[in-house]
This record gives sequence, structure tokens and C-alpha cells, in this order.
Amino acid sequence: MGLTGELLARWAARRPHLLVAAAPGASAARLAVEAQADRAGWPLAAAPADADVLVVAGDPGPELSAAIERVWDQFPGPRARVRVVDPADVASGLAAAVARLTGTAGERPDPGPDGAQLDGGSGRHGHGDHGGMSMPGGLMMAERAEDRDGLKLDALHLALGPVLADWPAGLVVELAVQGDVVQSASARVLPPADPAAVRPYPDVDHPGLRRRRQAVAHLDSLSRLWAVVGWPAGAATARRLRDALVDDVPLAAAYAGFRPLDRRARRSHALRRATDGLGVLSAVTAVRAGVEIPATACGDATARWRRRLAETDRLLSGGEPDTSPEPDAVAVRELAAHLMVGLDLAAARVVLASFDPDPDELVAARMRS
Amino acid sequence: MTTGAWWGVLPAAGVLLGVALAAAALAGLLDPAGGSTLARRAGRPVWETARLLRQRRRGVVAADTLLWRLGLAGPLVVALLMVVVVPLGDRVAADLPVGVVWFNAMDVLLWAAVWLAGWGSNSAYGLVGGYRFLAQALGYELPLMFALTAPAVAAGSLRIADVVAAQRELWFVVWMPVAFLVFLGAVLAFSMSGPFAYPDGRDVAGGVLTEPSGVDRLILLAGRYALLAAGAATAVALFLGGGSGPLLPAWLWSLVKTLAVVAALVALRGRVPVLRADRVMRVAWLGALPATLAQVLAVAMLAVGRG
Repeated sequence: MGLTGELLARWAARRPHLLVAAAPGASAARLAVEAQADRAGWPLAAAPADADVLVVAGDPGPELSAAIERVWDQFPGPRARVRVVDPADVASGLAAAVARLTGTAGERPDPGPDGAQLDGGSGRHGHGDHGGMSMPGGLMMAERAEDRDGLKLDALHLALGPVLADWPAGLVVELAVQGDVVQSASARVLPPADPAAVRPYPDVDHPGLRRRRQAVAHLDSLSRLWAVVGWPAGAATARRLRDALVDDVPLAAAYAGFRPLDRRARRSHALRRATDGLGVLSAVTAVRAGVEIPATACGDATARWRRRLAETDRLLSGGEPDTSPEPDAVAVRELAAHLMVGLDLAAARVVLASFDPDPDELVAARMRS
Repeated sequence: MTTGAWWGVLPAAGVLLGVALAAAALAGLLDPAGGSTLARRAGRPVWETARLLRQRRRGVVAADTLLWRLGLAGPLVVALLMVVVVPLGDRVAADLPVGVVWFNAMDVLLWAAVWLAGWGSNSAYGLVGGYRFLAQALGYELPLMFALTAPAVAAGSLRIADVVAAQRELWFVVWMPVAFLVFLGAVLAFSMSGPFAYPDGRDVAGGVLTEPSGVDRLILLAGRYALLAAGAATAVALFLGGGSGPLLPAWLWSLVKTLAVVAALVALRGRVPVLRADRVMRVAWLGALPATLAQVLAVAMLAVGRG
């Protein structure tokens, strides 16, 4: 490496972009990664093309591992990867990965996939198994299908997840889209290597810790929703508060930080305009979808984030942790997927993020049944 | 107003890139998540540029590489072509008699450029990003055209130098504030930032930014900041009296005002949630469009009255 190369590498190391691929059940590790990235001033990438370091949080199962490998193959390089399971190892693990990326660790950095010009996949995370004609490059042609206005339009099969920014860990929503309008959606979770060991993040015995972790989960969901809505300032503030709570700041201090965010969100007309009327859930919708309705999920996306704010407020001001039985996670996931149909991609993602189905809960529910 | 030789384009390009760099540095400075020290935050454009120069370019299966790269370079080229007609103080690279129309025509070129940047990558998210820009452009373009009409009508000329000269007594921002605000909104929209960061939204993994890496990405990101700078420079010439001001030389006034407008735009970004295409249409066609039409009517009546 020449002198210029070394200088570039040193400057580039100030701001490596991380792509986080989390497995269900690894919330603590993922939260530690995101907090460390925030402390170091390293942004979280939205796509592999924008990323330098792949961070795998937790222990993914075979299907999720395969998806992560495909994402890894799309890193442009130079690139580095690291897997973290224990939150205590996050800081050292990330630092070592960045050192490998810049070549300061004494070895040459991984230059990227061989023949990086081709990535051999139809979508970034597609699971392209659809019949139909193929094209040069091994890609499928879109099939045609009736659309909602009775026209025949190309229908494209697109999988959202499992590795996507501001997205529940391991969740895959398989969509058929015409233009960018969702025609059908089905959601599932790719399990971790040991699904039996998964415990939802707030599921701890100590009531004080439980209260704290429930607030963390709500703030985590809010930050994801606001990032999807495109309100980066709100998302960043919610994430900071969340990280502070994980770091054991006193509840009163967290509450003092939460109040202005709460006020700002509730008063924002623009925010309400972005979520009003999306994913309206009524008893009728639920019956039609054939699922039992969790009372806390009624109303539109705005109602859901306001309820999360209210619940966070209650927990942070010293309220007792919520002991009511968790809403049926599978039903919530099904409803969310059901309500995505007929919306454009942007609105559909807002709807999903407003429910924010908890993948840990989904895996645990599957193990119970 | 003096027009230099052909190489007068070079200083214009240099100033444009300098202002774009300042905008990127300020964006880093204002982002609390950018690192612990101020130097680290403000240095963001340097770190990012180094990172992207070091990163490899990547391709996508069956991408239309030629059109894709044309689209990626488009925003930067368009920004350069825009500032060619905008005077810095009393110097301008190309004193076109139809400068205002030229600016608008360059802006319309963006429709093709951003669309190609999304479509050419042969990626579903990129394609959605391209579509989103067209939907957004449909919203902002008409209000922008009428907002541009107002200063031209008031000055009785499409030459930007004449528009600047017509503001000797009173800056146009004072008697056409609606046109000024709509113009600034359109600048945010065509540079895909703030409430209009929709074609490059995080919810579609970056949209038009999903696939490009390395130099390709650098050019597109630089183009976005350059568009912000070009828009701000035009706003200064059309509404804020160009280089007029006490004490300082005219070119410095132009620069100071441009930097102030850029700073205001950058500070605004990120505070407002993104407007989805359907919401943009409502805001643009039911709010901004009638308002700018009323503004143009008022300006035209005043211009006729004066005589």
C-alpha cells in the first residue's frame, strides 16, 4: 500500500459503515452493537453496497445464515465481518473488525468478493424460486397478473428482509408487487440456531429490570418506526434514550430526556400526516383475517405509536411493568402482513413498523406450540 | 455584468464544489450521531470521500451499466450546468438571455438522470427510488416553474443578471415571499433531501442509493450536495439581491448569502419527516400551486401598475 493508500485507509477508518444482521433472540447483542456504533460515530448502512463491516448479532440458523452469506457476497470490499453473541464483547469485536478493514491489524484487508462485478441474485435478498422464463444473467422475468384495477401488470416477487435496515431480526415478508403496490404479503421468521433458548428481551424475573427492558423495547420499536417514516431526528433521539436505559441511567434522568421527545412527536403535524389512516385495524378486519384481535393493536399507525409513547411514559415515570399476557405474536404478524396488501411499499413498511412484531416472541411462540 | 472566456466555467465549478463541501461539513456537524468531537463530525465529507475512493465499484447482474452511470453522474453535471448562468457578484460564466428558462430546463434533466440512476441498476429498490423521484417531480415541478416566473415577470427579463439588477431598490424576497419559500422547497425536493428524501429513502434500502458503491456513490452523493448549493446560489440571485450589500465586494456578498441559504436548508433537513408521494401531491397541488399562482398574479399586476 502506498502512502496515499495508507492515508485514505486511515481517514476511511474514521467512519466505517456497519450493516447489522441480527438473529432472533439476540436483542441484547444487537442493542450493544447499535449503541457502540452511535458512540463511535459509525453509521448503520441501509444496504450492502453502502457497508464496510458486516456485524452478525447472535447465532443464526441455517436458512438465516445462507441469507446472510448472500448479503456478504454483495459487499463491494474492502470488507470485514464479525460475529457477536455477548454484549460485553461488542466494543473489542467491532474495533478488531475495523482494524482488519483498514489493514492496521497487520494483514491485508479482504478485498471483496472475487469477480465483484456479478452478484448472482435477482433481488438483494430475493429467494428467486419462481417458474417462468429466464433472462441472461439467470434472472427471472416478472410474471403478469391482474391488478386491483383489472389491468394486467407485471407482478414482481420481492422479499423484504431478513437483512434490512430498521427491520425486525430475522423477519422475512414475501411480497408480490405490481409497480410498488403490494398485492400479497406473507411473513415468517427465520429461526436462530437454537430456537429453544430464545427468551423475549423484556422477559426477565426482576421487576425493576423488566420495567426498564419493556421501556427499551418500546423505544426500540419507536425508533424503527420513525426511521422508516423518514424522521431521522426523532429516531436518533429515541435510540439515544434506549441506549441510555440499557446503560442503567436512573429512570428519572431517562424520563427527563423522554418528555421533550414525547411532546415533539405528539405535536408534530407532519409526523401525524405520515402515519394517519395507515393500517387501520378494526374488529371487522381481524375477523375477516381470521385471527383473534389483540386489544392493544386497534386503530391506525398513529394510534399505535401514540400508545407506545403513553406506555413508555408510564413505565419511565415508575409505573409497574406490564404483566398482562403478551398479545398473540403470530396473530399480530399475520394482521400486519394482511394490512400491507393494497398499499404502496412505503406505506406498507410503515404499517409493519407500527406493529413491529417481535421476532423473539414469534420464535418463542412457535416453540410453545 | 462581465462574461469571462470559456474557462470562466472553472471558477464557477470550483465555487460550487466548495459550497457543496461546506454544506456536507455542516450536515456532519449538525448530526449528533456523527462522533464525539466537533472536528470528527465536521470532517465527515473527508472521511466519507476517502472511504468511497477506497471502496470498490460494484456491478449488478444484467444492469444497464452505461445508462446507470450516466444517471449517477447526472445530478453533479446538472448542478454545474445550473450555476453556469448564475452570477457570482458581477461575474457570470455564461450570461444567457434566457437564464431562468435554462435553470428550469436543467432541473427537468434531473427527471431523466435520477430515473436512470434507479432503473439502470436493475434492482427492485433502485427502481422504486427512480419511480419515487418522478412522482415527487410531478408534485414540485409546476410550483417551481411558477415560482421562477415571478422574479422574471417583475424584472421584465429572463436574463438572471437583469433580475439581479431589478432588485437594486428592493429585494424580491420582500414582495414575493411565497415564491421564495416555494423555490426553497423545490431546491430541497430536487436535491432529494429533508422532507423530500423519498427517492433515496431508508425504507427502500436507500432507493436510488441502494446499489452504487465506491466512486459511483461518491459522484451521486456529491451531486446531491451540489444541487443544494446550485439551488441556493440561484435563490440568492433571484430573490436575495445577488451581490448587493454594503462594504464587502459583490462576489463575497453572493457567496455569504449563498452559504447562509445552504446552512438554513441543511439545518432544516432531518427535522421534518419525509413526505410520501401521495402527500407531496396534496401539499404541492392543493397548497403550493394555488399560492404561487396568486403570487405571480399579484406580481404581474404590480409590474403592470408600475409600468
